[in-house]
Amino acid sequence: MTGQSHGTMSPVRVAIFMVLLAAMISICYVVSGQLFKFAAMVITAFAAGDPVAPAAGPAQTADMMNRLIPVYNGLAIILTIALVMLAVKWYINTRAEERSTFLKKMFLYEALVVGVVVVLFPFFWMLCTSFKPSGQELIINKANPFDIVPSEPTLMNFKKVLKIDEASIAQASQDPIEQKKNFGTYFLNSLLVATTAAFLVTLFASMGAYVFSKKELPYKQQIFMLLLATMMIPGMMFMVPQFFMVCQMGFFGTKWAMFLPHLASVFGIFMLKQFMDTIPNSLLEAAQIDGASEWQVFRVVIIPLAFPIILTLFLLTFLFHWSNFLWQLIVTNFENPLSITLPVGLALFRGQYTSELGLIMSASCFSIVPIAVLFLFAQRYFIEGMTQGAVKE
Amino acid sequence: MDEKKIFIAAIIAYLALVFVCWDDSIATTADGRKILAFWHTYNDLEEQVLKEIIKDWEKLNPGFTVRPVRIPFDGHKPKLRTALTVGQGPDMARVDWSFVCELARKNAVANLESFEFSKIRDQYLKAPLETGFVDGNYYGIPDQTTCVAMFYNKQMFREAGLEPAVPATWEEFIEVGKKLTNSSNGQYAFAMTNTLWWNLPFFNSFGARVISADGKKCELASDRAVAALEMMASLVNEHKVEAGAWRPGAISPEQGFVNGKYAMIFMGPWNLAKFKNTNMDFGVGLIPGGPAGTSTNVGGTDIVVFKHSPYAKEAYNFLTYFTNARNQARWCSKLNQLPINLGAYDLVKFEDEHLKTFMEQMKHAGVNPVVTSYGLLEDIVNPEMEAALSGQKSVRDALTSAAEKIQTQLLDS
Amino acid sequence: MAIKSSKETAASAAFLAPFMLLFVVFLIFPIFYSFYLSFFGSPTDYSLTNLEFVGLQNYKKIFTDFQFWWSLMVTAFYGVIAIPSGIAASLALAMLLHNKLFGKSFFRSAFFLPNVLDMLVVGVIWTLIYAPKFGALAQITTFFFSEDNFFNTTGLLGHPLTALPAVVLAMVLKGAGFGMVLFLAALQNIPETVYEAADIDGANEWQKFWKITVPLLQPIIVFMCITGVIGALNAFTEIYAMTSGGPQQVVMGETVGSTSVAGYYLYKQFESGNYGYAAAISYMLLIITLGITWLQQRIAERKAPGGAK
Repeated sequence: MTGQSHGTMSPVRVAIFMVLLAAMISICYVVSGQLFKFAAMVITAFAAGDPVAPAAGPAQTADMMNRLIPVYNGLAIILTIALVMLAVKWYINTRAEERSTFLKKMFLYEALVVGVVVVLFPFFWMLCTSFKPSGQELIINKANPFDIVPSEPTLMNFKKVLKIDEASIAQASQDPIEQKKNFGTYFLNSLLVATTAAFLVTLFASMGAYVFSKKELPYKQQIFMLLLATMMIPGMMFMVPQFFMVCQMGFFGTKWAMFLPHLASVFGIFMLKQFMDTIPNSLLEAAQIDGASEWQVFRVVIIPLAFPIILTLFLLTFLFHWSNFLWQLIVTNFENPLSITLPVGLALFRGQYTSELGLIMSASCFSIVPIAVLFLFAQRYFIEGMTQGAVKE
Repeated sequence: MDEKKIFIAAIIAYLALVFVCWDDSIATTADGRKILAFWHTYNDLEEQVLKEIIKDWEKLNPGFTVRPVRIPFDGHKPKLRTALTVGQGPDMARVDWSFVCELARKNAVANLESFEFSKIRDQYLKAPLETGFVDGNYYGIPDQTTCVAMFYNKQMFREAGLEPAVPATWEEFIEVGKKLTNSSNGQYAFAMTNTLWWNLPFFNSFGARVISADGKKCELASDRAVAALEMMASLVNEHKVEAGAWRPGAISPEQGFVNGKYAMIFMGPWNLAKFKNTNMDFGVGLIPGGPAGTSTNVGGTDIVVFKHSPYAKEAYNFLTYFTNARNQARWCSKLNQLPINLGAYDLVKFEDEHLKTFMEQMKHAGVNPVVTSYGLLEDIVNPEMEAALSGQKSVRDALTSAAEKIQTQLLDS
Repeated sequence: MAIKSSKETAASAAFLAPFMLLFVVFLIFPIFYSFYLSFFGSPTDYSLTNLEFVGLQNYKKIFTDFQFWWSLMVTAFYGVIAIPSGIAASLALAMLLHNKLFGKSFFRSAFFLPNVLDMLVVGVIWTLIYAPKFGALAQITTFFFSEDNFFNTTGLLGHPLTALPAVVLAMVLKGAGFGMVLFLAALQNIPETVYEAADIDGANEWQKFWKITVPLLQPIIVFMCITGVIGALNAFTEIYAMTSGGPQQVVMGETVGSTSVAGYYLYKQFESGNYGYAAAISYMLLIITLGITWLQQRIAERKAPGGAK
């Protein structure tokens, strides 16, 4: 393929390089410009006022942001120029016969970066909107419609969510029950509910999946098909009867009610079973010959091999219970703040017609942050760790 | 060994969490008074005023205490439905106006006439009151009301060389609209959404009703309704003064308005404070008049008393106190809201000019369609309306088929 | 042998017991209850007992419900574009990020991260991106073409033909990271020796992918297909957030929503209090899906006579 242009300067290749370079410049400038502006914006928002004390007016933050324009734009330009120089240098240093591979790689990276930008855009938008003052959330920057970072940042939304703004502090109640009605309580409640549920679901589902994938049981296939068939029925059909049962068992308003009916996760068992099917049987047989008990085989062979997927299931289950609004709403006892979970608590913020987008987004930020932290911890095990679990035969 | 440490730390953290959060019991002071549970959906500021009013009422009724319990507005319907299934409903609840009919027809709430509601009924504003009127009886007391009026961008009017004011009739509106529209620039005179509630001002200003006064017949195919929808369609297709905000996926009228692209939109008083923060120069005017004069829709909430409550009479007594002229005036002046009690109209003094316009607009509100499932009504009408606006169906055909479906699926079943 | 198998059965039962116990307690009753409900009309009050028996009327009604059959077609269309593109995107990402690549774990994390986002937030943002006149797509196309281009006048969500693919694109980009993780994990279980043997036979990369990688990843592909079908049947939030079932089309005199999938239609029935009818619809969907699965297996069997699986 590269044979005919051996050693010569191919004009086509140079043209492709130029196009890729132009794409790189625009991607890099736009993305880094927004990221640097975001950093400047966060610094401004915090510098303008101590988070607990009254915030500086929008005019002051706008002024600060204006002064920072050359800084963040300059940084973006410097970064872009540095990257261009690096790319050109690499291109020139690459031997002619390897240049098409280089171009392919460059294209691949650009495509991946564009992909990442597109999939992470909702995050960025959410973060930016939560810094916008009330009324400004929907306003589009006329000079540059792609600029979504606010020019008059404020921390007011975050303060209102945490009830540390002036108005909330002024009307803080003396009633101990009322005092418990805050973000922190809801957060801890949800944390407890979601971790407990996620742990139990992954444990039971991995035990069950092990049976369906690797062990013998009469009518195994039929039971599995039955489980799969129940997945086809939308969950909302089960809501009222499950609610009725939970109330009959006396769990209304307790932590148990928040997750108990959702512990039997067919999705989880199915996902783990399908993954365990890709684990070669020879590994199990080796362990069994060594005289390992059933539980040991499961614990020593299956769990470590399936760990990335078990962690994925843990994360997804955690996420499900972290945002399971409708179910948790109907089993919540609203007289008791200890029964209110995060999604329900966040809904209490929302008014009837006033959709304060900034407020909603900053509340979402608070509910997403712990998941992002959990994810960043876990990704070491299930995204990087996957290379270590490789089977060598 | 590093992983083992993390594991142990995680277990300790989890146990601490269980220790802090697992206990579900709370101590509520039992002082011998009888408790009236009131599920409301107010926000922080409103809740504070509510508590003040409750305190005053408790002084007059020493044997009882009202316990306000806030539930989220998003989801108050499923919450109440499921709670009623197992008999755990409150004594009274604040619900969206469209929910009263379902509660009444499902026999869950008390007929207010059993407390002689007719004696005090006339003090309430007619349009909000009628949202609680089901099958000849009243089931809900209005506690908060809203409507939409015409917001306009004064600067866009001036740039087009016009006097900044909302035209008085739809004919003038179209004439002014043509001058305000500059489609190559993305500027339009008007933007509307595609949901029935938001478009009721059109139908009401033509004197059209969606459901007949006795609640038995759908009148959406009447000549008046056809004329109203034809006028709406002409804004889009013939005069091209509408931005197409009703199309799926389009930017909402609100977003176009704050960005200075749409000169006029329907909007309610709830966004006044937010729009002021945008520093734009806007005004609020009455909706242009059709054959039946200016008119608007009704939004807001009603409070219902549940049949199963052992203290229904006291709950009703509290509600009449809560919505009397004096307390309404106190409520509305503090919170900048429209009063539902006619007596309070003279007592509240608003500094905001716009709110006065809304009070005037509210007097001309039409009657909302009261049906068991308002959601289903919208699900039937909205698609037909879109088909008519996009020219895929004639206006009469669209409304006729909508009326037929409403009759068979909603009214006759 | 008999002793071993009964021991094996006991162990299997013990492993499966906790899950099955929860399943039986919390799912069997609701399943039967909703099936029972499908023979009843709308309840006259809020208790679970006051129901009017209507026999098979709900099921009969389905057969004449044009909106339902239309929504079924939309669902099929949704599945047909969402499932293959979802699998292709996840597999492509997994293959790319399985190789040695600088910054590999950053890309892996970044692509997985959107899974933690709320569907409503993602829906709102994609609506903003697609929006005519204001959206990012409209801005970009106006820069390159005239103002009269499709993205600026109608927008992807405004046209009956493009609305559903636009929703699918947003959902595929949100969910691709999850499939990627599954594929990546399964790729680790493929022994190197298999590829080495193929190298000796002189297979090229393309052949190795289709002849070795894809068959060995089959369990994951099956999983993605089945969950894709379930996802298509239950699709609701994305439609609710992005199009509310529109844009409307007039087909045979009926106004139907071009993104009104079965899950959305079902939700609307449920919301309107038609619980009996909603239950009948969900069982009808179950019967149809099982029927199609059965048919497809029969065809697969006939195509490969004597084939073991």
